[in-house]
Amino acid sequence: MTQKVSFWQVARTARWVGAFLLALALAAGFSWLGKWQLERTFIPGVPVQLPIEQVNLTPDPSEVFIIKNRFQAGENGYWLVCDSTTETGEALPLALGWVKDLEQAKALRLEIQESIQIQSLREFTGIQLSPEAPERIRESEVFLLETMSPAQLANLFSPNQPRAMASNFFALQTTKDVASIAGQDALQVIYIEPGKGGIEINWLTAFYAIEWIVFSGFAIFLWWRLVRDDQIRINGEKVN
Amino acid sequence: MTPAPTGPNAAQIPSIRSAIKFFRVTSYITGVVLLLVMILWAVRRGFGYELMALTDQGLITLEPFTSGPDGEIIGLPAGISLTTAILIVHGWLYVAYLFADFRLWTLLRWNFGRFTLIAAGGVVPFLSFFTERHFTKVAKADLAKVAE
Repeated sequence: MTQKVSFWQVARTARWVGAFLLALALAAGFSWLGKWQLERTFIPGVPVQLPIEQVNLTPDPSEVFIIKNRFQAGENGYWLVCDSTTETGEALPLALGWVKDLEQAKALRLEIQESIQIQSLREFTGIQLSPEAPERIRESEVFLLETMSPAQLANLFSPNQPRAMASNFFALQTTKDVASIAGQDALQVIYIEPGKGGIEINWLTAFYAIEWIVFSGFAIFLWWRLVRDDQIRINGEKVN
Repeated sequence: MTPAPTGPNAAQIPSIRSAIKFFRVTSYITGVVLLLVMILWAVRRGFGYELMALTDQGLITLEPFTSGPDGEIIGLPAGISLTTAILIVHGWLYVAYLFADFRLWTLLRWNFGRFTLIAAGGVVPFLSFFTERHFTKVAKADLAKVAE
């Protein structure tokens, strides 16, 4: 009886080492195709820029609140917010602008409150922003708020009388409008970064990517199967 | 073509029978779906229409679209693209077809050329119908030899 050859003895022969290199090259090629398909799978959506709107309203700067934790160009600062009434009589909180320094914000707040400019119904340019959840006032100075909550502000602006209120708040977007309430160059216009726009998934390439990975594994498996067949042939084994 | 010195044995006959059946079924399904892919691709690239399901236009409709700067499809209503769905389905049917190819090939100890020829049948339009006919005949002849 002849000596049986092992799988690795067959696999080590020049022919099957060559075939293995070929299988590896195929697997690498398939993996590259899979990677290529995967790269095309996640498509970044178009950034969503909030629409700039013109709204008719009557600002009421007799009471100004300061909102903490407002980031602008990477810097932590404050918003100054006052009350306003829309054409339809709804209360719409008005974010006037941004300032970096708290002391400056406080001084400006008093300045705006004490200015006796008469405000009337007119057009303002800005963006509608979604409300934030109210948070308990933490500071000893009660005009210093943690979040921008129209509901909380409605109570603060009109503690004794209920008012119809808008669900959003309005952030002024032109220097002219800001200056008309807060004075020249006192506040920076609030900058709202465009939304990320989410990610779209290309399902076709997602599934193709998985298939290429399956094929690349299959290339190696086929090499094993072919070597095994050769071993069976050499040994004259019975196939099962 | 050198015949393998050791072919399949009699104990494998039921496996071979089921492998032939599986091969035939996947051949037909993959072949038909491949033709469907070709038709929908021609409709998409040739005529600029996409077969869509569940849009606001109806259950299944052909919707016109325009091509973006990178050849991407834009301007389709929200819904499911059946063209894309068929492409995905064909991709996985091809995986099943390749498995059927492998099963038949490994059970009958065929040479590697046959494996690649049958594999090509799933991506070349109409080829799977010919490979199915030819290799079913070959497989049945091999099976008869084993049964002797």
